Amino acid sequence: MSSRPAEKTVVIVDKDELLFRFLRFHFGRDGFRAVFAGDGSQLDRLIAKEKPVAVMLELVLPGASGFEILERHKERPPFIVVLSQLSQPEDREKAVRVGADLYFSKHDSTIRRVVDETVAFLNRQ
Amino acid sequence: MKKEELKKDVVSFLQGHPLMVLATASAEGVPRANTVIFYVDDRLNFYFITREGSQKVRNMDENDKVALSVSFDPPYNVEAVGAAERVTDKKTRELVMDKFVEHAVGLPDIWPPVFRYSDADYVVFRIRPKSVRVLDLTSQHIYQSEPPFTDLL
Repeated sequence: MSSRPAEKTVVIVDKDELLFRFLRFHFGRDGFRAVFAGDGSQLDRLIAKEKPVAVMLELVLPGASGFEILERHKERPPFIVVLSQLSQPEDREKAVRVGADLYFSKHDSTIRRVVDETVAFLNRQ
Repeated sequence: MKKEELKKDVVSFLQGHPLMVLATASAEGVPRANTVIFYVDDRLNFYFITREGSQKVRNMDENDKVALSVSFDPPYNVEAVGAAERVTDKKTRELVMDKFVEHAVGLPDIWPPVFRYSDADYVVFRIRPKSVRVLDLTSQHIYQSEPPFTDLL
């Protein structure tokens, strides 16, 4: 009996549940499973439960800031992909310095580009 | 075609079409028309997503009477008049969001404007139709003796 390979999981941390559904659709087409975390505390629980290959993180969140979440997770997997409404060069530089593996600004990215580049990145690892 | 068969056919047509024009009006009667991505259920209730604070939300909060049109994409032109109400049921909201995404990804050249105002919460509306009428756009006759629209509700 053949068994299907386990789907790779991406946890999406963003308060925008409609955006999450778009990302889930596109990740699903590329063979990834996306799950939703509305804030940092849900993220910690989902990392333990789902063992994701990546976290896609908005830096502007209710409660803990995305930068604090980045700090907490910089020394260990999963990979961190920032998809944020923050678009200034200093935001990008700070996020990468603190541990982001990829950075997309919502102001100059399409969903398709974000998912394509994230999937390509994850498949190279 | 019998009315019940026509209704089923129109529902199927509407479920395959993503865009409708929605007309609202303020309490003072100032009108507004917006194009929105919609989903329709088997009972011809129309659903769509928008943002709190938009003019159409303010209009519908003040005046629940709305009209809509799904137009000029053969075979049907569908027009409805009804009452708009907020949807608070979680299951229905999630269904409408999933349908929204299904429709929107079928429109690769359109990024829905609902995303462009990120500072306000989403709100889901349902339009319960009081009347729905349909025009078969494919009629081959120059004139016809019967009224061209068929009332479904």
